[in-house]
Amino acid sequence: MNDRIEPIVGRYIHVDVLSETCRIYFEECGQGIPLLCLHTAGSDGRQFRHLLSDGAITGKFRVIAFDMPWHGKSYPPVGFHERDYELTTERYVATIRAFSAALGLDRPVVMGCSIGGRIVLQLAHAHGAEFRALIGLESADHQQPWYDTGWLNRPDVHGGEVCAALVSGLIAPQSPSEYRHETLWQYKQSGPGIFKGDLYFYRVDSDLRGKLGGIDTAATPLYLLTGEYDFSCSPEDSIRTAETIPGAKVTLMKELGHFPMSENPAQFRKYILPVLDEIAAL
Amino acid sequence: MSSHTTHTSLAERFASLAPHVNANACLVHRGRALTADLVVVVGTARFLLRIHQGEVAEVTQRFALFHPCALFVQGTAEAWERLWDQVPLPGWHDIFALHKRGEMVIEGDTRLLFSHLQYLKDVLEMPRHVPAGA
Repeated sequence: MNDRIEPIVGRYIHVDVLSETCRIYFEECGQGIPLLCLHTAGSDGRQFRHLLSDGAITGKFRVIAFDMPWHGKSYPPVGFHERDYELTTERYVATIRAFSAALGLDRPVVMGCSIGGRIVLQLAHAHGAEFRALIGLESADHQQPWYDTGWLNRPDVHGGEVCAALVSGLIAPQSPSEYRHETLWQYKQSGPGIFKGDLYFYRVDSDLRGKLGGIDTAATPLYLLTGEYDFSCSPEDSIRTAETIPGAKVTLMKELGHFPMSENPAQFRKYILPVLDEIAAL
Repeated sequence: MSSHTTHTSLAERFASLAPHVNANACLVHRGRALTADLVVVVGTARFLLRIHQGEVAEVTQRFALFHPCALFVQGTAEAWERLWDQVPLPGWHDIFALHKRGEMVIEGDTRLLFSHLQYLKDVLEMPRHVPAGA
């Protein structure tokens, strides 16, 4: 085997989501318990490239990261040019469940970051029994906005540059420069209006405060991990959310920001490995 | 260290910004489309920061009242001191983090701000990369 070639394999799968056929790109590596990874708003599955190459994880887990439609190598649906993109809770849940079903995943673990962290709360609330465990990175039921999303897609402001510049403040100062800039590059490459459209879900369509009753963490464990430098979803936001969900486990991650798995994989694995070990032992 | 000495030290650090920005060719290149005057308030010290095509042309405390400016950036002394720490603490590490916690005010031509956001962040954070007293 050529040691210059990474073990990650990428493929396309056709998935029907709410009567729309989507050609979804996904990458996977490993064998064992399916671990389905959800990227942040305005980015794509490349955020999980370090996890996908971590033998300590892929030895026990089939790690899968897919690009949501309209993101990365997953094209928008046919006719996309005639409408603006807005992610809704309904579509996000449907996409995850349809993708999981299309791959035939048996009670996967789902780990989502940011908007992915928000949607795992909804999954826990409405579809918990379908999942072995749920992990929310930078996750909370609600966050206070700190800028207007109108700035993310304007003809007189470079979308890629402004998206990256805004989120640059969410990366911890300790994160290696190489991975900081790789994380920001993903934002610079995002399609026009995609980050803004994802934040429709985050800011408008998914205020889950007071709506997470009935989550059975005994049946489906729920873990929330938040970086101390994240001021978009702060540790206080995650702690407040966990206090409304009996049995939810919260971890504060030192020297990490909003993109733990992408900005500093070495620091992140110190926190995620014990969680995954606990899940593997269930 | 007295608060007065701290304030003076912070003002001196900001006042000496120009050579450090201008020596960074990549940063100046990224700001090449920006020519603007900013008023930056560091604690109690008011500065006029004049940018010309990405270079810092002048940083001065001697300017007329109500001098026109594109952006007004005001921060508490603590905000700037912590922002300029070599490894800032969480919540003090970015101008938007400071704005969110109420330690910084950013007003004016917000289109200019967002159009040149990373450049302006890098300029305002520059003292972090210059040891105090350098």
